[in-house]
Amino acid sequence: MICELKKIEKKYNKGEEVIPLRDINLEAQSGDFIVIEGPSGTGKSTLLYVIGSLLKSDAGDLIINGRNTAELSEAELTDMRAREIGFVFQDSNMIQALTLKENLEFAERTGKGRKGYESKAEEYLRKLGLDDRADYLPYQLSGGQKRRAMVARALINSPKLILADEPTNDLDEKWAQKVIDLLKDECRKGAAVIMVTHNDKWLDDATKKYSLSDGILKSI
Amino acid sequence: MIHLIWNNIARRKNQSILTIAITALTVFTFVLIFGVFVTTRQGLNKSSERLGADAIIVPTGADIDGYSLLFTSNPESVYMDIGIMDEVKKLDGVAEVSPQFFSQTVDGGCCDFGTSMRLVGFDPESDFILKALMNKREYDKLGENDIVLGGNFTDYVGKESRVLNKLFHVAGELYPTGTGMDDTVFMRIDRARTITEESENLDVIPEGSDSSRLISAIMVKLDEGVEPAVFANDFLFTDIDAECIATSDTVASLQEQLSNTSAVMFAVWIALLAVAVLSLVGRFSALAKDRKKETGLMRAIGVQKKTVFGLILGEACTMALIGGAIGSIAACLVLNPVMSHIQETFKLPPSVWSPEMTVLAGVLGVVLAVVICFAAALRPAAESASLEPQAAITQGEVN
Repeated sequence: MICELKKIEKKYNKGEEVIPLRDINLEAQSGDFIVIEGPSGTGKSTLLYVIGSLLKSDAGDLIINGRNTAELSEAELTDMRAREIGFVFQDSNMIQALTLKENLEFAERTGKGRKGYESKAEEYLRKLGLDDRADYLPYQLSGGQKRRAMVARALINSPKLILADEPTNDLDEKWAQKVIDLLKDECRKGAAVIMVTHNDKWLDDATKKYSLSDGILKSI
Repeated sequence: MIHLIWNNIARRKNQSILTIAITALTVFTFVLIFGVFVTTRQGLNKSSERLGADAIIVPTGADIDGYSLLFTSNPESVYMDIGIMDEVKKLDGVAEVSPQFFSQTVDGGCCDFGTSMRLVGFDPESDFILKALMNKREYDKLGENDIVLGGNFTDYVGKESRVLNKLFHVAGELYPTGTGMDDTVFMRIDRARTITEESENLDVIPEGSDSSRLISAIMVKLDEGVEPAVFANDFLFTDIDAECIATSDTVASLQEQLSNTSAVMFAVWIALLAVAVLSLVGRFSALAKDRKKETGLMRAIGVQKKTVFGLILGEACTMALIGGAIGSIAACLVLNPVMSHIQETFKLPPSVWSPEMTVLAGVLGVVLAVVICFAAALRPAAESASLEPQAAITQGEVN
């Protein structure tokens, strides 16, 4: 089991209490391509933040690769994110002072350390059609190129768990399909992918399908 | 990390230039003020050490103060009888005495130096002042027609020169002292009296007086442990018809004035420093805020808190090094002309501001820059490092 959520609950208090996640139970095993769909603002991103240990839940257990995250220190959680989890964020988010290739190498170095590996930055840039943009700074890239770059960054360390928040946003059909294919490739290699989307087009590719509405996760 | 720090500085030029400029300006003012402060302080101390005389006895009623006697070369023509020297010798605490006769050269073709200068006759046998300051000399015993020049005259030794229309041989040259001595011509006391009396252009010897007994000042060296100020005070209660100036008092008075000026300069610099630190705190806070989303990203992909903290501090310190170096170099380039002007104004020895001092001031400037940038960046760096990744990503500005 790569990831297991048991009775996860998350509350926000923004004047009135908001509960985006209620009693969430989810299991992600090696090879799973899990798609969670639902309209905007239903807590899909919040769920991914909780699974990625970027946001603490108020109740329940999150177990990643057999370790309960509640028992891990801040530094251990950070280390786990570097080595075992790959994120594709909903908004484009890159280090502005680094070129596209340097952004990938930075993530690679964070996950694998300084030495003892051959960089895959160029390979992933090529796979995502960005090899001619390797030396561009983020502000010089289009929205679609940034999106593909974030996918490359999430995959470069071959993480066990890939969390993708609307990874096909800003992409044309060809590149959207290519991104989905790459994610499925990672599943075939043994990773688990949890993808949230408001587009039900990708449900057919999923091994497990869920919908999230009013904080409740339902299998579909 | 170093790679990211450098790229953050180099590829966010506008932000970096502003930070570096604030740092450079702060360091520039520091090095400049430090230079001025050290030069004036050490210059005065050096002048004081080189004076040789602990006290100077001058004629009663002479319109002459310690400052003009020590630090300027304005010609002074005041006289008293040499008999006073015997009375001074007998006073308690007096170790050595040596007479001097003050006269002057005259402007306009009378001499080779082109301006009216102090001419001092001294007694080579009892002298204890010039002896210690001799830089170059070509004599064993100073002759009738030999002169010794102050430290501001260089490369005259061995040459002939006219003083009050008489031809003299330049037999010696003194080290610079930072005092009026540097612009003075020295010769034997008897010769100085004669040429002053014989000069058609000078009318300084009081009528009816025996010029061979006239002296202008008695340089006094006191026994060890005798305070010049106490000696000068005790002198008031003697019957000797003369006045006593304690040289240390004059130097101390000037030092006090300079201390006050330095205090004002220091206060202005502290105010500037405070403004710079506040500006830099603002700069680094803005930097941390601008990169909130980026910080969240780094934390999300596994960058540890301490690394985020180190990145911001590292960036601040690198900009400090650059700004500090620019400020220090600029100040060191400007320092020399400023120092020359100050040395000219205060008659300080030119050797005070050395290349070693320039390097020291520069290094201190850079260290100061690093310290203030480190202090200014500490809080923003700590706040950035402690941000929750999700909050940083969602609250950060969209890039």
